[in-house]
Amino acid sequence: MQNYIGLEIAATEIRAWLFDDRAGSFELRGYAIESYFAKEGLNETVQRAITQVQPGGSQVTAYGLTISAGKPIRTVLIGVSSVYSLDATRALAAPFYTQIVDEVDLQDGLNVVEQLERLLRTDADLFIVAGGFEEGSTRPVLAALDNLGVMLKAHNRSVPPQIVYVGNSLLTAEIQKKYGREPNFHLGGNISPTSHQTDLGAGMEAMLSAFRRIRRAEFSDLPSLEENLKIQSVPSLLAQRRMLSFLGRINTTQKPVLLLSIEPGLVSALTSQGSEPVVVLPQPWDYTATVQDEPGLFNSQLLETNANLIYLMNKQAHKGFVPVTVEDQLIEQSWFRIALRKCCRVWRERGCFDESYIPEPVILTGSSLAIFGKDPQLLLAVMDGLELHGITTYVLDENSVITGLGALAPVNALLGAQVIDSGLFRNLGTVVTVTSPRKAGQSVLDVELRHKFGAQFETYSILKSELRHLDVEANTDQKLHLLPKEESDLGLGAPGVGGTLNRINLKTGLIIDARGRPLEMPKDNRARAAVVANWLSELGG
Amino acid sequence: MDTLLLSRDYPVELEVALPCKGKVLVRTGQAVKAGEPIAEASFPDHYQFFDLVHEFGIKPEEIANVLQRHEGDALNEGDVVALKKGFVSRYFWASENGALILARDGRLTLAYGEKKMIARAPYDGIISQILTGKGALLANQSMVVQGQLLFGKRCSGPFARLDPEELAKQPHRLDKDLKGTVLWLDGPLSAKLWERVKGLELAALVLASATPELPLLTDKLPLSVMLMMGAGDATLDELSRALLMDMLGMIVILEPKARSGHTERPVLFRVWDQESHPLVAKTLPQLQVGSQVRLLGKPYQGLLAKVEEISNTPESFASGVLARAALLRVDEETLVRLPVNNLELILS
Repeated sequence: MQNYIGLEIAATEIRAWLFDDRAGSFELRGYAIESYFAKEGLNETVQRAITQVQPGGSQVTAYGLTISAGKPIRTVLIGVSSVYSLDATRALAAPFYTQIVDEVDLQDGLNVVEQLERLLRTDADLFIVAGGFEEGSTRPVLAALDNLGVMLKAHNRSVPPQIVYVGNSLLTAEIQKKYGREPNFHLGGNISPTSHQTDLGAGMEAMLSAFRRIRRAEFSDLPSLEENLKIQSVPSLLAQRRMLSFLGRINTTQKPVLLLSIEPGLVSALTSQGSEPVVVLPQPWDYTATVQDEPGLFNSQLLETNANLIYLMNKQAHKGFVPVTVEDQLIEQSWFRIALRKCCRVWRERGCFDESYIPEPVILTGSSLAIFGKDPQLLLAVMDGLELHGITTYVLDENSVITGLGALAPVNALLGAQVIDSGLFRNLGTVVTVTSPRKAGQSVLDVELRHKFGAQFETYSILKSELRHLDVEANTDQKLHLLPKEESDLGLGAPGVGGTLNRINLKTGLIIDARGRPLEMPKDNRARAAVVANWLSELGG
Repeated sequence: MDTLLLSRDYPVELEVALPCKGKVLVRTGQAVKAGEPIAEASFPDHYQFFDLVHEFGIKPEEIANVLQRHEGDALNEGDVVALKKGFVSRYFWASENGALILARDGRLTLAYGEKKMIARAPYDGIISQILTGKGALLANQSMVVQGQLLFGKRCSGPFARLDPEELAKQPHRLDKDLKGTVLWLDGPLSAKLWERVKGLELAALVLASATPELPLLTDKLPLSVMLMMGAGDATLDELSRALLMDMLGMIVILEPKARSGHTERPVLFRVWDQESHPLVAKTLPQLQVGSQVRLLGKPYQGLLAKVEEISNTPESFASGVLARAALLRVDEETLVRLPVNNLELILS
């Protein structure tokens, strides 16, 4: 029997997952969380987590270690073109918990001294240099690298800045000669070899090397932990990216897979389709609310004026606070939607999550989801936050296993596939979103439940502005036929186009969302609270 | 779970550190005065770049012949850095005192001048720990009350208390007596009174709590405001109240980010009399049966309690959320069960 343990060093806890193949194929056998504070006693806490997840202490075949704890890495991107190299560099930096503090376009006309002073002002932990296409220009890149060399000498930061070069390979030999012995310099392959090609994989090892140096300086126990476990740490987001890349490739729906990872302080959307590179979109997540944010927009009860703001201000002082009363919880859930909508706005500005983006499935993971006591509450909050179009299934990765699997993917390629196949994710429901220009109360969609040979069991008429939960099952014997009105759009290519569903389980049923995009809600607080409460009640929350 | 400083003699530690690597100028146990340097670092003030190949019109292989100084060499004003002899000789010399910090492929970078960055003690204290290459922890061991939220910056002044009604009734001519004080308004603050408070030229205002109706939480504040119990409508617990009462008339400091347990939170502490009270390190207690805690969240916000039991496995609450819980005795008749995360462990 093989035992694998995945470990994650998160901001305030250590997570451990045990997988073994005692049943013939790999399954999740145990999950444990140990509280962990302020970078102290990392080795001991990890050991406690390992003991907890594997009380017998039998031989561990291999460990996987990821890290999401640590300060955001202040990063400067340097490229010879804002369109090509900087775009690719942004994508390369995304899974490494970076905070982009400056972007330097080498065609911006700065002289050498101005550029050096600009770089020094950033006080960055990491500089990523992308040097244009193969056979492309080299002089500006060399000049920028010289400036970074000056920085390494002149800047006496307690942790030296790390420099990653992922550009034109024409310069590789020269750079190797200049910086080969410099431990803070990391040389990778070209991530933008041509204007039509991006190869982030070419820069991953260099990025990992820089990331590890930064985190090892930040967490003094990390090097000894890595030595004890005989494994090097990777960013948790990178581990999730690995798994999502795999899920994107095996997804038979031809649609993108979306992973929404919500951890204290950070929400990340990772999306993958077929063999396309995984897009990683991290975004800070906090409790800083203003009146303009309308934090009570999604309250399902009428609360005292400013109850939401007061709660959120106190939550800023105690981020670990757990909502125990119904009121606290509905405030948290309202804010969850607002914060997620804010993230989506940023992602849309970057060209993602537009109306044509219809993922299947949406996987939800992360410790911040623990504020939801019931699945329908979580489902509704995510639906309201994302406001997706089309037909989508939402599933929950209850124990954040996807990170553990990603950590172990390089040591056992079979493990991830088998564990996911073992029914790891909990189905929250399939949602059909129908948009229509019709007025509230008018019929926008008919849903018919029919036997495979044509007999009709049930018909449901869906009205505009409704959120309906249908207690139905669709399988090989009975199918759900979606019959939209002429102008109703189900995201199936054009308005009026319908379809058939044959994989809906009775436990979750089917949810039809005809509430409009963007969501149409009453302006009056009392009426709006009643509407939100109705939605929740319809889903069983 | 967060910790809460409510003590007559707990060390309050402040990290005084450079953002970069530097030289630490103090030692553990040293008494330092406000304004004294704790650590310093030096940087070049500005840079000069010179491309020998381009400026001297030479071939790359000639660089070694013209370069007169090595990378890392210190330079005095007028020192010749590069010289090309010929019919018309070309010189490149240092325009100020500095150093040749990089010489690669004929591209020279010179650094001139010196810029100093100094981390200074914001107030008196004792160095309790050296942060190698960065700075030190500055400790005060005195009467301390930890607050929840501080809007504004570090400040200090004599600590005074007034009932809001007293202030409202007080003739304006007496307002000058409050100038520069850290004023504890012991009761709810109305919007009207806030307008008056803004004009008092206080060093800081201390309140038990405040609601967002008051513009003080969104305004650009003319003074620092500390909310001891947080936002909302919470009353001060008796431990905090007793400590604040004892500090009246003394010089106090409001520190936005003092180290306490595993967190950095705002504190209000009395200026320390180091001679009569030597610094005594305290070990950080763990939450256990018998620990004294303060409760967070409605409806128990601010109540003090003793831990009677701590569960090892998560328990379900009214909201449906699962969390590790503690059974708490608030008084003889009241027992409540709350998530461990919703407690503040009192350090006294």
